[in-house]
Amino acid sequence: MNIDIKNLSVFYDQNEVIKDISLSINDVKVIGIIGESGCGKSTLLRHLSGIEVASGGTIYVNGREINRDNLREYQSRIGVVFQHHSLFPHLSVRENIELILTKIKKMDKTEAVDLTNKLLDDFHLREQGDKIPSKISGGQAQRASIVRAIATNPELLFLDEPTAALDPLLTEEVLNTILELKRKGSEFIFITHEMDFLKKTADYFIFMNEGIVIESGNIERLENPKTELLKKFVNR
Amino acid sequence: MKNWDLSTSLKNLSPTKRLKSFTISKLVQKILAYALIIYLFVFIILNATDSLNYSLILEKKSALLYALLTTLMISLVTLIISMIGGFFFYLAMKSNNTFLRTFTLSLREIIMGTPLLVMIFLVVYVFGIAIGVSNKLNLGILALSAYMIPYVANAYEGASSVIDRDQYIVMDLYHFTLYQRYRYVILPQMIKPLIPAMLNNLSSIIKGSALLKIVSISEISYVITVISNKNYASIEGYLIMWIMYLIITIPLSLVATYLGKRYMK
Repeated sequence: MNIDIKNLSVFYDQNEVIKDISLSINDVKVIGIIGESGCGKSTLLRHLSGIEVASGGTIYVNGREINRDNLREYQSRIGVVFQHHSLFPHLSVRENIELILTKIKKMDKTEAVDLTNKLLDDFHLREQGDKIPSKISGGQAQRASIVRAIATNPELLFLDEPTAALDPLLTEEVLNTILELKRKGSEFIFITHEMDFLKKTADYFIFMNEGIVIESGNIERLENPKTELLKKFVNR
Repeated sequence: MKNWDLSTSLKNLSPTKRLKSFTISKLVQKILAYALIIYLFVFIILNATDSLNYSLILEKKSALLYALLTTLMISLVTLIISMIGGFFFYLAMKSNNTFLRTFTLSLREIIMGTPLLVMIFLVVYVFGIAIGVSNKLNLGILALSAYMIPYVANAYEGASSVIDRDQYIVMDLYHFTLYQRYRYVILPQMIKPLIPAMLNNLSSIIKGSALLKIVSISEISYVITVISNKNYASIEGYLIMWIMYLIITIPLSLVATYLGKRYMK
């Protein structure tokens, strides 16, 4: 993927949450965003995924600018996973996936059922397929929401700290699912606090602090941080 | 000398015995509460007048039955109209269109601050005449519906709060149409919390329909008033009217409470 951010600034009321970020990333498959809570990671991800559109600055993803005019087309090519699973609670895992495929993507019913079965098998969720989210574990629900996000075969996936709401035992299974995505060659941008996982998964990292990108680069660079802030963050 | 009191003696009981004692105590309190309600009811009936004569009213069984059915018909039709109207009113209240939102929110405040009696008068004698409609039954239903629509819209608003923000973001991301949002995600989740609220609204409509007697619609209140006035038995009339409304509204209220508890689980 190629990301080009030019002078991105984001204000919530009078607070500048993202402060004039400019960044150019080329030919990477997986980007990890790190930083302390409240540093602007989620805000950056929400702008990269088009959930919010900034009034200041521009964002180009794979050469195309994200703006209000092409938002619908852009969002039809991406998938987003949130901190909480965000599955529709009245529908089973299977129905959650099939609803998007048949009603929104207008896929043929038989084709949608076949694809859903394949995805549920691939991600070891077949047994949970007919259960509603409240009847499965938090980890399984989060994995199901990842499956729903990739069911439409997005060219880019965004994961906003998908293990934030999970206990350590459940975190492991979700992280394994994300690793599985990497093995399958998916391109994605994710937020995490797990440094070991970041090193295992990402090709590129972005380290933020107080709305500014302090350091970014290939993942190997994390072994020798240039700034004190990143050094401290890595050695926490 | 040993200082004995009830709380000390309860503390000394085993957990099972304490639970049993607690259950019995609750049961006794419930029985006492129901007994007090029955006593108050009987007290009112017996003290209404010196010589009550219900037979003059009760012998008009067919008129009473017709009135009961009319009340139920008016209430059900009003509920259906206000559920449909209330849904569109709710959509307008939530609309991004400033005109629609301002109009409906202002109208809601005005209607909710208007007594039903005034609403019936305005619809039947002002609006009805202005649009050239003279059928009082239709106008009465229209008045009740117009009065109930903001309350029903509020019930929709309350029920929609069960849907969290992330679900709306997901629907935005996949660009669900308004129809798809409501058909597949919002309405199926709203139905459970809506059922008890709608039953309570139906109960309000049934009670409110009593005021339609001012425009001479043959519902319970009007028919009983006519019969009791003819027989000089207005107190008996009101008591029978009271019991007839209770026979309809109490089961509705119990069902609403039961469903409310069930869906809260």
